[in-house]
Amino acid sequence: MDFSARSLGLAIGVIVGLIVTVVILKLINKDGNTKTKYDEMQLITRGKAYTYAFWTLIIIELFLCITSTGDYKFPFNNYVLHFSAIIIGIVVQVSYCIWHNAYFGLNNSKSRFAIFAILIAVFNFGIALYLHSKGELIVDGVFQDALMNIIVGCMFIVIGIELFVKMIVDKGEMGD
Amino acid sequence: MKNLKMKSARAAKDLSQEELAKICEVSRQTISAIEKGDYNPTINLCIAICKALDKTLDELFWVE
Repeated sequence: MDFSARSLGLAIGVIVGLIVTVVILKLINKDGNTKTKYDEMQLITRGKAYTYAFWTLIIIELFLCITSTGDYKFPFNNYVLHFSAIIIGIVVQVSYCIWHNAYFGLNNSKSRFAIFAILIAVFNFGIALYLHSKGELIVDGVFQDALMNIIVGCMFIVIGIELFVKMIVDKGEMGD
Repeated sequence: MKNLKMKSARAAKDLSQEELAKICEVSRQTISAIEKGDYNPTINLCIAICKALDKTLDELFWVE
């Protein structure tokens, strides 16, 4: 596959992903609204979370810029490298929001979110497994695009674990 | 500083944090943070809380 065809394929994949995200948001929200509603404290917290995620992304991208000038080669292709930076930024934002009570909005259904998170993780691991069976996960010792599916799957597992632990911590606090 | 006046006003109305949060259209954690003194609410939220608890701003949020 030449570069332009691959780029087009990835761009279409991202657009489809965004459309799916909007549909999922509509299904996750109890009122059927695409937009999640947050209260004033949550909005302030989310602003801080975006700041941390922004600086995380900047630092990782700077690191990648610096290392790209040297001879060192990462065992991942370029797309995976930059995508991983985005995912790490998202994890920072989400984690901060989870631990500061700003992840779930006022109109979110936690149970529906849990179902979709599991489905998305399983779906991504399934794709990665399929591509691995076709020998497209690692080519010449370098991880290919299929690694992104594993990373996304892992991200949802990490979010799930964090939410579960936070739920236990919150239950303890409810008695106060 | 903990907002004990708000906590006792809520208790007097026999409202849980969850119930007060629903009336004021905020999360339970936001009410909890206000009572603990971890968050300073905007004037709009202060008014919503006062209306829900039948109290004035002075009674709940004025610090001597």
